[in-house]
Amino acid sequence: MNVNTGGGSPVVHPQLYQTTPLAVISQAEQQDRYSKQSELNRLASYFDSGTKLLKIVDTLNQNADAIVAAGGDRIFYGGNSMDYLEKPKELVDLPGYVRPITVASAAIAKANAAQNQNQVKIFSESQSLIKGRTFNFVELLMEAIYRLQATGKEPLPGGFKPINISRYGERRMKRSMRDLGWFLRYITYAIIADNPSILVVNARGLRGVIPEDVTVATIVALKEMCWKSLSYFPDNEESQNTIRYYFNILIKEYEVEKPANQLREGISNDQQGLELPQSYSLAAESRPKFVMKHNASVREKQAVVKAAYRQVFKCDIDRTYGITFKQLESQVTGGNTSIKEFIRSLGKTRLYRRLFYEPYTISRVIELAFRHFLGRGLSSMEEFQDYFEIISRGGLPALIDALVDSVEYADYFGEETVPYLRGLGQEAQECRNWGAQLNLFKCSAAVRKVPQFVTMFGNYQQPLPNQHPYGVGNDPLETQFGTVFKSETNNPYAQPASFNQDHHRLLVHSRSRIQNVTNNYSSERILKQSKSNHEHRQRNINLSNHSVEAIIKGVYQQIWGQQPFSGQHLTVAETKLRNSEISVREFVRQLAKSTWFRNLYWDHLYITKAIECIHRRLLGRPTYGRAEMNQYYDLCSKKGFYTLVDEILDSDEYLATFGEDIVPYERYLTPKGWAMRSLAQPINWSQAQLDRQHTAGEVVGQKIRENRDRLARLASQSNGHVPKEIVEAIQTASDAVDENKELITVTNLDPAEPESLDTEKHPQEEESYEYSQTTDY
Amino acid sequence: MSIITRSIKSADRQARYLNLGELKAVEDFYQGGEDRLRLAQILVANEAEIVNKGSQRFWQRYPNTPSNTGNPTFRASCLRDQGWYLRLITYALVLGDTEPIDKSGIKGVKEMYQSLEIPLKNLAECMRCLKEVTAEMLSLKDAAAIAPYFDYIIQGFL
Repeated sequence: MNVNTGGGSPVVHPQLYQTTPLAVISQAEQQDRYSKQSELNRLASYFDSGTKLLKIVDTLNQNADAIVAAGGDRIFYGGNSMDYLEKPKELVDLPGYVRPITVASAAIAKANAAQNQNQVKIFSESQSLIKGRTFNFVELLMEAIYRLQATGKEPLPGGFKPINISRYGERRMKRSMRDLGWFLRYITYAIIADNPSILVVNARGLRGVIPEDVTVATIVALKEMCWKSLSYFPDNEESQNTIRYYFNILIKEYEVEKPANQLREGISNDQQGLELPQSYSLAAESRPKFVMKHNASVREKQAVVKAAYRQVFKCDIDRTYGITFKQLESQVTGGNTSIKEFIRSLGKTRLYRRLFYEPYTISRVIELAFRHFLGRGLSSMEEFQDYFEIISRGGLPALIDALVDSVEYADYFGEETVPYLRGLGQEAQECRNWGAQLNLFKCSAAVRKVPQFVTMFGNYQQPLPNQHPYGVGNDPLETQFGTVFKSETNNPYAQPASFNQDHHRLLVHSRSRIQNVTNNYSSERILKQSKSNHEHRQRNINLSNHSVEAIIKGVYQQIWGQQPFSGQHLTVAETKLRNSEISVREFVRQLAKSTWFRNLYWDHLYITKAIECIHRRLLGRPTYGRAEMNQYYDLCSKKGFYTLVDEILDSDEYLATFGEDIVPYERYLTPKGWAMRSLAQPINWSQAQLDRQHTAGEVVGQKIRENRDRLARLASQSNGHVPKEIVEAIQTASDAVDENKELITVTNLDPAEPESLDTEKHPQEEESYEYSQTTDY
Repeated sequence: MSIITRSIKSADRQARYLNLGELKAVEDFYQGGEDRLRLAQILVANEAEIVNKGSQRFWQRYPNTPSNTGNPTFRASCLRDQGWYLRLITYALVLGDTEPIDKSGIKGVKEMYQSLEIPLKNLAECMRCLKEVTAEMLSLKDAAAIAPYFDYIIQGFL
């Protein structure tokens, strides 16, 4: 089976480590019960000790550098491991950054930063170096004194020799120091969480990662760090114990050999073998598995039986349906039958049939049965087919027998373990049933009546439906343009009927006249229409009917989406067109290959959107779907922008539709597309606005003019003694009015005004035409 | 995910020690812990009574609801679900976070009830009844502390 697409993935947040409250809650949650008194007591004592824990963490945080340095000092000699403390505040020391730093350069960098960067003189380098050394020397002395006072330290392991930094390498030393810092950080996290799981998850098997020759040294350093940390709590036995506890766990986990990845056995392509890193399974370790032990107490046995009910029926059947299987229960608690047989009999009860067989289609029954009896979802079409055959021959009992008797059941659950959901963290998850499996594990799975796995596997075999790359909807033409993530609220997998360019649509074709046409109407038809009736919007501009100037204007409008600014004209091409040296198509090509066009529709867009825009500009219609888009995409990736333009302009469709002389126009405009590019609501001009004679600018200009006149009158009245301010005021007022005159251009924004009036007013503008104002759709 | 997990997660991502703000938040969490535990214990101890009173009140207000039709399975599942939500609230109280409610009480549950043809409006009202009954049993301060969790569920249904 080819796996070409994903199964639709819900976002998951794997549990990474435990904290005390989480651990307590998750235990109760998985058994569907309230927290026990003992658990609540545990929590209460945790909350009580909180302040103490915080104090420990706070102290460790504040002295982190000193603690790490102590550890480093113990295992390194020959250089100064305290340099670690002088790490520059850049990212240099973080993983992934490689930049050799010498002791001297680090010191210089520090000194530079301190001295404001521009006052560095040559002698200061050596000075700062000395300063740094003396500082370190004092620290070292303090250390030595501490060490003299130290008691209760473990002796060094035999054969341990401190590492010479000059031989070990400056960078490696720094890296080791960084790792020690990490260890301390995780210790503080674990203390806050009151749970060592974060240490276990992060440190187990690190031994295999850190080079073997420093393994012993690391442990020595960790012990030293532990001792150093303890020294901050000289009189506090309890805190010391806490710290020691976590350090011991860290060291113990560190010493363990790197554990192998958890394997999920696989025998064929349909039963994949997969690996799960240990840290994930460690984090999920706390999930209880219920195993029936014959010497267990009655209460424990009861818990196991309950777990079996939860697994098979997904709820406490006693409370919901008032049903208990007394006889079955007594047999299993009495040790007469195994849990495996108990599960099998539960599957064959009337209740199971009623709940999980009768309401569903067979496909869904199989999916649910997999969840209940094997704790996973179906993993391939072939597997589904096998079990489908079983159930169609022998019915539900045969299916349950097949599942419970399968090798997989025996491998995972054996005789006495209650099946459990093998979800995230429990074992490696397959990719191809990912989304469906996660959905199946939700408590609402039983509500879904439609089979999910089977339909998904079916989709795999037809990997890419001819859908638009923008989304799962089926109409490629208008609704999806320009969006990668449509805001769809309907279920995209419901698979609506196919709907594409061959279907009849209502197109916004000419003003006030909507025709029902398919996409393959010919250009002659439009030509005829525009000839016969001049009231129609003339979208078809060509050389035989129009002047060259109109053509040029039209091409700019269509290709660039705007009239060019004064410097933008492609004068050479325009001249050639005027002299009939090139055809309109050639002119279009020049425009489309211009920098401005490239800048507008190529440089800043992602490829599919760029193709879509260019296609609309040049060919006048949207792309029809995945197949067409794939071709263009291929072309773009291999040959780039200019070839794309050529390809479109040389296509048969372009020649057939526009030929050499017609300016491209928008051929395929649906009402939905029209609505998308216009304002959300039509502008409603109020009557007052329509009646108004002047624009706002004119009113202001009028006021200024009046002011100027008044000032001028004042000036003349004062007999030539004109104050300077007034003269200036007059001048600025006049300037303002003059500028306004330039700016105020009364544009007619009224969309309701019929065009016919317009033509009456300006009969000389026979060539006036209207393009859709589609600069940015 | 409690406040602790969250702080550790963000600190770990930036490879730093927990900062003062986070430590303060954790401290508040510890100090409020006792109170929240006490509330959770009250809920646990009085579950039966709360569910009983709550459902009575609910049926009074909405007599036309599937659980009031006399069908014993519907009735039992209604009571069970109320207990279920109370339990989720105790979890949330202990963690000081609505995540447990989210995980198994909100996500997907709406669709589930819809397909079972139980009107969500009724469910929300049912939760409101539970909230009122619980609030009547508690002091003003405690009621204020516990109300947001109920509100969160009610919001989830709307």
